[in-house]
Amino acid sequence: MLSLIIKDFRAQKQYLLLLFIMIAGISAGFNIAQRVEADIEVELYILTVVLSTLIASKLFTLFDYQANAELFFAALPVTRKQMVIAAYSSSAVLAIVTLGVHFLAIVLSSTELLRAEHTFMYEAPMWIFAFVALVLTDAFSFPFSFKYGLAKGSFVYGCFFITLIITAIVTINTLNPTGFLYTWVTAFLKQSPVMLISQLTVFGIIILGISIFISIHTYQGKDL
Amino acid sequence: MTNALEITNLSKSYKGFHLQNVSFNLPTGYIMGLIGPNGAGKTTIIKTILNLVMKQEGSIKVFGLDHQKEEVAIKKRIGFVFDTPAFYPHLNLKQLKNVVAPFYEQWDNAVFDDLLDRFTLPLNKPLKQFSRGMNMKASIAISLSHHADFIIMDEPTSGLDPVIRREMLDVLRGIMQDENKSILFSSHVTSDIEQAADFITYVNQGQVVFSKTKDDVNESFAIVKGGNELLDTNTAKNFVAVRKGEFGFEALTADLNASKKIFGEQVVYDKASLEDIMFFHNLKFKSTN
Amino acid sequence: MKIIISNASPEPIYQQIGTQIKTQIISGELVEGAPLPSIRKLAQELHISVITTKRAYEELEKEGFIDTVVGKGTFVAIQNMELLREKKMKSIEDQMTKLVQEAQRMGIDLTELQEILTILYTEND
Repeated sequence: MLSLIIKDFRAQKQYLLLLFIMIAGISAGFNIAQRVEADIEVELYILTVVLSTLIASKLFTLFDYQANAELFFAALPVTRKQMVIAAYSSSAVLAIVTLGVHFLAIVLSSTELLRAEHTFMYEAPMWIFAFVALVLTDAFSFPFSFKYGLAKGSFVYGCFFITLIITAIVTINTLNPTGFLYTWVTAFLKQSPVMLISQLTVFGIIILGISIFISIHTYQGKDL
Repeated sequence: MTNALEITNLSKSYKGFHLQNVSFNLPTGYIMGLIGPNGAGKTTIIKTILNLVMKQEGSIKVFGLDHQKEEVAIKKRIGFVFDTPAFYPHLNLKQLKNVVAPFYEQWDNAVFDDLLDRFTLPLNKPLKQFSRGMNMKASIAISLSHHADFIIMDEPTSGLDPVIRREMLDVLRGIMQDENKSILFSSHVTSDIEQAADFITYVNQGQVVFSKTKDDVNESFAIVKGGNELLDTNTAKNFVAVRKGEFGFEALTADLNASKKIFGEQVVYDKASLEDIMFFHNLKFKSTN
Repeated sequence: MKIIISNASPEPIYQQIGTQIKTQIISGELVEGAPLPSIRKLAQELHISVITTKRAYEELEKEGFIDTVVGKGTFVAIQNMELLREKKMKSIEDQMTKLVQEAQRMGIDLTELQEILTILYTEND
């Protein structure tokens, strides 16, 4: 089972390197641009981070698709269940690593090494938003990919993500400071890191768990 | 005698295509050739055995085990070759081996290296630079490198030149020296099947037309040639299909002995090649549709 | 041991093998106890189906020409001298029958046939 997840890292080593260089370039670029020019919208940066992480997490699936590898791996001594879990796992690992590269790039390109200059890097909301967006998009679109293939799955993926972003932007801009949503979000964010992390983890587990369950059942009946 | 493969009443329908009541067995220690025109269902049968495509009805047993209930246990002992080798083109064989080997407990590097040697395949060249023949050989090498007891191949020689095809068949014969190994391969290159197969299963339009030993096929089928005056509705019934020409008719009989009793020395009996057999069956199917 | 098969011959391949092995045993080319290749080895070498070689060996075993010992292989059977002579005679008789039939078809009578036989026999001595 581990072989299924690792296989991609083994097979796509050189592309991973390329990816990380690009990712680092994006974040370092933003960071340096910040120093040299006027403000770049933080929202733009956050969007870029999340978007690039989403795309990066699907890198392996893309390669498999191009190489028609799905048929090959399905004929190996693995179950459909293992293939589904491996797909989610690869995506998660790639997402985490990509976010890490983003963070590292900012930190390393800051004038004071090891100290990111922009407070937004330390702001929980960005990371929480990134995490929630990633979890929701994956959870929603993976079952589609397993049922209809990567092409249609990616389409759903894109649509869902765009909807999410638009919703987020609209919500943020029309947020009523005295409204229920604002109060709830502020209270939520005020919790201790331990509370935040554990609640987000539980959220992730439940949502992804349901999604994995659906995907497994879908994929077990799929003709390749 | 155990069967490497037992298929009973397999059915599967797609839009516009139906695999119906497919049944045949492959005893352990033999090679079976699966022949049939394009679209006949050969690939579908192979895919259902490997559970890549979900069967709708019927049972499939490999090594006596249910192919779905014991899927992983069975697949550990199966080597497979598909007609479109699926590999990451930027990898070389050494890297590909490192990706695939961990999936098989019985992977044997010595066997792999030896096969690459025999096939003269380079370890360090990216696969995208391989010719089709080299790609096929690579697929075959991988399928044979984990002591598989059952090798399944879908059109393993299509697109290969005759010299390489001969090499392939030699490799297959070498494998069959071990009486515990079995091979199923589909091909529309009938001469390969004629050379290498012990059993022949002919599939057409989703059904098994026959599944016999090669000797049986050679002894029961024949081309019958004679004067047109010998043909009438009665005698024509004996044949699978008849081709009438200006100077005489040509027909395929599925029962040479019966035909000999009917026509005796009035006609010429020629050996029917697999191509002949497929051609005449196709005539028959066309006329009944 | 030498086996040459013809794909063009009307005689089924398993029979060709059988005949050739029988001939070699009768003529003494293959001695008693001599090992024969396994059916699989033979199939591989001759590029034919193992079912064919199996059938050839089965027939030969039925007729008492060869023996298969599980775990050891296949060997030329110990030939009962009388039986062997009988087999040799049968082989000659079979060939003579064909000859006689052919001669009769061509209208050659017994006296002519005996003449030809005498000449050929003395020539070859």
